[in-house]
Amino acid sequence: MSVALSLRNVSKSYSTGGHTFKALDGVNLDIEAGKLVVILGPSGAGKSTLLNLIGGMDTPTQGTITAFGTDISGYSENELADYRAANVGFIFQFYNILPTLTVLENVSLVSDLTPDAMDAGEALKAVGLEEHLNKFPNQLSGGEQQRVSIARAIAKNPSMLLCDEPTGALDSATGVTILKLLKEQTRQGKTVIIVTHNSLFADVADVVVRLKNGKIRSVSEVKDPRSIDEVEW
Amino acid sequence: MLKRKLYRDLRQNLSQFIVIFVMVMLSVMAFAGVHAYMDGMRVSGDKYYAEYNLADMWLTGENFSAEDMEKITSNDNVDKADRRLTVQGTLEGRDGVTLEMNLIEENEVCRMYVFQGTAFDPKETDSVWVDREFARANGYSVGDSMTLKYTSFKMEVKIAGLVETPDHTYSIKDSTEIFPDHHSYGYVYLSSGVIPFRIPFPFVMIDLKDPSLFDETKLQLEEEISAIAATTGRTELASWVGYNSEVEEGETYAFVFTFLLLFIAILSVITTMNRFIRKERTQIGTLKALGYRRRRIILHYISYNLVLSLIAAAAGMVVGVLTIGRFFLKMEMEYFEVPEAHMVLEPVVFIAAALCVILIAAVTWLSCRKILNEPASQALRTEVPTVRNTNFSLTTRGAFRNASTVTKWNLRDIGRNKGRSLAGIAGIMGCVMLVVTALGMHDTIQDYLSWQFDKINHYESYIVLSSDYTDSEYEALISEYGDETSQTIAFEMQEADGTTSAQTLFVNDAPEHVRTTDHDRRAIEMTDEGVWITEKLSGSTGLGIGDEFTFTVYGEEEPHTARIAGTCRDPQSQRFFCTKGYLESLGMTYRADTIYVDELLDRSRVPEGAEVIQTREGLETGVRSMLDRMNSVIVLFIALSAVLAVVILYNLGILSFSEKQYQFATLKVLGYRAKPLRRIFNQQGRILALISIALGLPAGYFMVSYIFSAALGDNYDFPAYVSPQSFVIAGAAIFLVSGLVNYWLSGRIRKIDMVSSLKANE
Ligand SMILES: Nc1ncnc2c1ncn2[C@@H]1O[C@H](COP(=O)(O)OP(=O)(O)OP(=O)(O)O)[C@@H](O)[C@H]1O
Ligand SMILES: [Mg+2]
Repeated sequence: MSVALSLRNVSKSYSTGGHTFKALDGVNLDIEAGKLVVILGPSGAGKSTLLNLIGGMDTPTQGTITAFGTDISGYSENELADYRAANVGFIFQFYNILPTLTVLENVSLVSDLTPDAMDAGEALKAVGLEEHLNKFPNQLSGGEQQRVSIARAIAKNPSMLLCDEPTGALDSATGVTILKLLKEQTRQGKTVIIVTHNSLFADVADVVVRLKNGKIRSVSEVKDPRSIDEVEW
Repeated sequence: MLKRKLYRDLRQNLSQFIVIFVMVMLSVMAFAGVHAYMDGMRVSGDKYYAEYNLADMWLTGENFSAEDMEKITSNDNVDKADRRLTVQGTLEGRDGVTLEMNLIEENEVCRMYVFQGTAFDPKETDSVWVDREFARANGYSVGDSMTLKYTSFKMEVKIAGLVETPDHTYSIKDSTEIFPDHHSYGYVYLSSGVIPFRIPFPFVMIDLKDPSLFDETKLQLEEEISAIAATTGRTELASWVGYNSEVEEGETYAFVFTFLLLFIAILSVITTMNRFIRKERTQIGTLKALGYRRRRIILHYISYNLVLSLIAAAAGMVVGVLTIGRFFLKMEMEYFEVPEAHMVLEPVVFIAAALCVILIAAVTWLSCRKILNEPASQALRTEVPTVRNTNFSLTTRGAFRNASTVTKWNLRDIGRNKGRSLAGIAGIMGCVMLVVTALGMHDTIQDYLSWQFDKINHYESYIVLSSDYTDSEYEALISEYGDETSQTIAFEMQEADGTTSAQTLFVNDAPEHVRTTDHDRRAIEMTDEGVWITEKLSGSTGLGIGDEFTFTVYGEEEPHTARIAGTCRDPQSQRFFCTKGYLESLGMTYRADTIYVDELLDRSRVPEGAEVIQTREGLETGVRSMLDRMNSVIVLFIALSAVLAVVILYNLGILSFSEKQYQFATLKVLGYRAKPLRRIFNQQGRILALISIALGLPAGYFMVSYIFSAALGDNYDFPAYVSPQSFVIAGAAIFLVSGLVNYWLSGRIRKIDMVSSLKANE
């Protein structure tokens, strides 16, 4: 198995009013390609911070991040943009879709960015939204909006999907649908990293990373993850 | 807690609020300043005319006897009447000075305003009351002696007072001068007793009890008194007309312009407030969901701008009066003589300022209420774009099919956010319009001058002849200066409805030097077939080609009938034109009053039989100084428009940037580089600017057109003109400034912090 991501001694500090606060403190982590990774931890542990660093939305204060064989920690703005365009699909708790574009247009956007993009209609079909192509985002339910942002993420055909509380605002049935969609992506060799509070996710993951106070508490490989349908939600 | 939110919001949107402040202040400043001095001029002038009894009626004749005066004062509608002798004299020891000498018996009508010295007393026969401006320019003060000369007659007098009179608010030597030259021309008043023998009194000034009964009184007096050759009213008094038309024309163009400025600024402010509130949509929804009362939420948002716009409006008023108002009133008063001229702040200024403040608050209130009226759940969501018809997309067809993604994205964004785009277009269009209007006002005046000086007048100098020149003097003059001459005849025209009107006929026997022009300013060859009438006069009298009219020359009895042979157009005098040949064919005698000359004559060497020499150069200097005065107002307008335009463009830029910030952050997360996003932003700015400019240029032209059609006095007739350069300058300047503002703002895209900006917007 190839290593998709490798973090060495990564720290991120914020300074507020003279104090510096370490949101991440000396994190070492390796993630193999094609795995479903779940990052767990209490609020404020640094989960989102970690995800943002991996996704090239932010740069570490210290340490190196190697993604698919190249060190991205020293990247310039533009290099980071290209890295995100080529490798990363983001899914947020709040869906961050553009309000003035229709569902189809929101997803079609990514074809500007990468030559490997999937057909937008197909991506939307994969998330079950083929009925709503011409609606505007705020004419959709929360779960539907989240599926738009998933469709947008997978349409890019990225090597990695980064999800920050993807089901946080959804009911459990919808959550299951979303989780299934994500799990499916790993079968195509994509690495999926999910940040969540919900420890039930741990049961279906390949790898579980626990974070607290900016430090990694444990990294455990799940020998034989349960199928999503088996889990009691 | 809401108060703290208010401060934070203010700080976060500081530049936005500064911009709002500047827009309100600047436009109120212009409005208040211009009103203060123009209303001040009108009110001061009216007060002066009323308190110092400016005559309502003037009688002109050979001589009005004491019996005539008795008859006049016994008329029911005559309040007071003074007779006087007015001659043009000179001052011993001062070459080139002309003094209008008024010999009077008493001073009840057109009373003197005494600045220094004593009031007029007919018994003081060795005293003189001198025009204050003339005294000031020539260093005379009360107690000084001067020797006045009229023909061979000399008068040694002492200055008893420095005065101004209401019939001399605009005091020029003759109608060819435009700028009063207080060094070489002034007026003085003397007691008629200064001359030891009987003198004629060819003028009577009458103060009417009821000026609206002018026509009746005129008929009654003309019936009774045979000495009357002409009866005129204020509308024929150059001084009154000069001052009033200045106020009236000024009021029209300045008021229209400052109103436009105010309107555009306030429009920008309220669209800004509206957009600001809509940006606060989710916050309003949250506050409501938390259980805040509607009233508190609305008050919270209104208090933002109520205080802000109130301070801005008040500051604008004070600063406007102290700068613009003071400066321009002082400038006007170098031109006009009105004692105690002061600025006046009329209710309209306060009302306008209050309306601005109220309007801004009202718009805030309405936009808040609109959001509050939605169910809380709806308010917590972002707004639905108004366009739902997604099947039709401009960008999938025609010329745009092959447009770049950036262009497509932009066109969609503009189309999907119609309200925002329209507000932006309206704002920029307003800026373009302001700049075109200001430049066009300047162009129109220049255009009028080139018509007058390049198309109509083709002489270097002209000689105004004395009214009593002898044949031999005339022979000598034309043998030296050539026989290109003209005569201006004042007459009373019989109108179709039985009334009469005062008109002038210009008999042109100088076709080489003075042209008559048609509608398109081409020279017309006049024939001996009839008279030509200016288009505007033709419109107001109803006389067309082929019509005939009857007229009587002032001072004569016998009426004549003339036929209209054609129409012409003149930018500054509405009158009749004919050839010497036609005049003689009516049985009238031609007696030249002006000779036109190709060379530049020395103005101080007036030959025998002549009264004044005027040169083209001198005329142009006069016009230029008038223009300078007008130009400084226009320059102020151009400057104000430019500043306001920059502020509005900056404001629109920030608005549009802050509205797109969230989208740009999302696009950056997806992997867009900053550059294409900057391109999107800049291109959208350019598209909107181009649309606005395309609309604003013609709108500006119509504004100039409107201003001149409303502002021009009856005598003037010239079209609005905006030069191609002005269109280019206005368009290019706005395009450039808007481009620069957007370019500068788009630099911030690079700095958008994705993490926090995505957090902040949810
Ligand atoms: N811009 C910032 N400035 C200062 N401190 C920050 C900033 N962003 C995050 N932090 C701090 O860093 C810590 C980690 O934040 P992070 O968003 O990664 O937490 P999280 O684990 O995702 O929490 P949650 O589960 O609540 O989302 C927090 O204590 C937070 O207060
Ligand atoms: Mg988080």
